[in-house]
Amino acid sequence: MAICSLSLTESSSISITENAARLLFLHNLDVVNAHLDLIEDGDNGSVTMLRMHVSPVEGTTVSDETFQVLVRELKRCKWLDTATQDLVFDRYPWLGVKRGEIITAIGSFMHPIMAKENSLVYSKAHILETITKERYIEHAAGIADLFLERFNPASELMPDEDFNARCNELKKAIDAEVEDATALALLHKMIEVVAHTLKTNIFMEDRYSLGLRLDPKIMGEDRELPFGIVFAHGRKFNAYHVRFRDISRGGLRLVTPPTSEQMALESAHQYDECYGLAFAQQLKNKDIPGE
Amino acid sequence: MDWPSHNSSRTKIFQASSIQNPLVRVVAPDFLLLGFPNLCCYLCSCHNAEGGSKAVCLIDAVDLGAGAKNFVMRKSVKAFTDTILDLIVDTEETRDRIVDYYGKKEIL
Repeated sequence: MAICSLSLTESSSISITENAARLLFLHNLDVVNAHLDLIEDGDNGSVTMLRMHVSPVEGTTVSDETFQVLVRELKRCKWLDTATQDLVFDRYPWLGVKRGEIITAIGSFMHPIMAKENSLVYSKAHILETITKERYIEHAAGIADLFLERFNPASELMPDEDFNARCNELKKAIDAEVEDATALALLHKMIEVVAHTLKTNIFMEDRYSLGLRLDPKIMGEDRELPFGIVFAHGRKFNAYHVRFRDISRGGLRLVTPPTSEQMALESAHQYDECYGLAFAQQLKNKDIPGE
Repeated sequence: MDWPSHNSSRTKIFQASSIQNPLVRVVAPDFLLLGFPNLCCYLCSCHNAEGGSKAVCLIDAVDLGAGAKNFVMRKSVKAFTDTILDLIVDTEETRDRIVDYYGKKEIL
């Protein structure tokens, strides 16, 4: 028997309980009993305190390593997007939280790029649906594995030759097994995104969202190429940061569309909007002598 | 700031040595002969002004009430800024946990 205690601020107590129970189930742990307290904290909102007695499902044992993974995932689940939660808790529990996050993040990142080719075929919902179809999820998981391997801090920097060989292996398998042209294009694009990622915080212990520092060439610009792009994918949001020089000054725009239709439209041109705003700021700043 | 030392006969810029952060820059009279637009162009070309940047955060607050929407917006901004910091700051944890294929420090 083990005790699992969680204290979280400003979260829905229902979603905390649900997510904790789902994660425990995925790690072969049964909840024997649970106690939840909701403590008001003045202007700071409230603190949810959840205490659960858990025991391994009959006939199984749970290692210390599993508990360490569980602790990390319990912390992360508050910050997971609903698409990721759906993917890793309900549809493919074998996938794991990290791989699920990578797949939904790359899917969201690809939307503005692919929508330029065909906004109807490459709608955000359709992109996520396609790359997570039962027929293709193993390919998507393979790409996520490559991403994790490439950025694993426990190993050395992956040489370009090894990385290209891995990419070619994945591409060969995709070409051999995927017939659908849309899925084919999306899976190839996912590999391209991994290849253009220069840094990520995926292995940071207490991160709030998944961040990618990307080589701007991935956007396929026929205009002036930005200096750098950062993309963040988190609970209920996706964000781009575009800059035109190493040291740049700008601002942050928050977009909260009122309807799902508007949300889909905004998502398709989110990058272009960010690029346009950054470029306007670039023109403004270059006329101001530095201090 | 360090002004470039252009001491040609046409361009002379002086800075009062007693003033640390001068509000007024004294421009040599012959520079004025070039006209004010030329002065501006000169200032632009001889300084590495900072570039332009912007961030756009698309938040899914569809069907949320005012309080919940505000809550989601705050959390999104918190998560986004924290993530950018993860990627640019140089700490023991980031050195240990972030594999860098860019290879240079980023100041942003």
